[in-house]
Amino acid sequence: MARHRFDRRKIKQHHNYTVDEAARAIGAAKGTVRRWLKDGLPALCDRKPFLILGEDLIAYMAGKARPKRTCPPGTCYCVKCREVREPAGGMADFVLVNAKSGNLRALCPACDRLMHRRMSFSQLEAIRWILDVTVVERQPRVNDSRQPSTNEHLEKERGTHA
Amino acid sequence: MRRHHPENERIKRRYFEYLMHAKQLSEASVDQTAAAIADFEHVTGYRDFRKFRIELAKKYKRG
Repeated sequence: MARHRFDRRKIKQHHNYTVDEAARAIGAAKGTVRRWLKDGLPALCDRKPFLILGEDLIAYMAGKARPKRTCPPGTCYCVKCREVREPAGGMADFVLVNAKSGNLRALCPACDRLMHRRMSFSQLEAIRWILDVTVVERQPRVNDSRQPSTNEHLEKERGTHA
Repeated sequence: MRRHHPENERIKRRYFEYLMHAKQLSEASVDQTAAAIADFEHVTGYRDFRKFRIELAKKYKRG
């Protein structure tokens, strides 16, 4: 899976980089750095190889960086919209995962897709005055069953190869 | 004010490669060298290294 946040601290201010070196340093693809060049990353293009000054690259990456966002209480992050949303209708389900925590499950008001947020019981109590939360038992899983396999003929076959 | 000289950047690049691979200097040492050269360039107004004279270096050392 592609990484979306590149670490600009890997770049050194007083060094210069080719496209390949810059990509290796930050762990991006070469195409990503070439795209940045087209988008306006300054470089020494008088002859090949093109050189990107470390200082310029740091400044460019700092300009592109979007700060991490935290969801306020009673909201979820919609992965489709890439926005923090309040659950549709002020309603949400709390699906139990273990004795202490679970997943808050709600609908996005904009795109009607499911949003999830990991939450502990103490956090759940804090948002109960904002949201109408229904506690739901989680669906049974295969691991919960004592006999995950229903293939009974395996026992019989073992006997025939003796 | 200009912040780099294109030819100097290419010369510096070759010099750092030389230090790292031929002289086998550590990364930290090469970084220190790079910072020192950058400071020298700043003081001389990003003058072309081909116009280097010993007097310039002496002046830089005097501060």
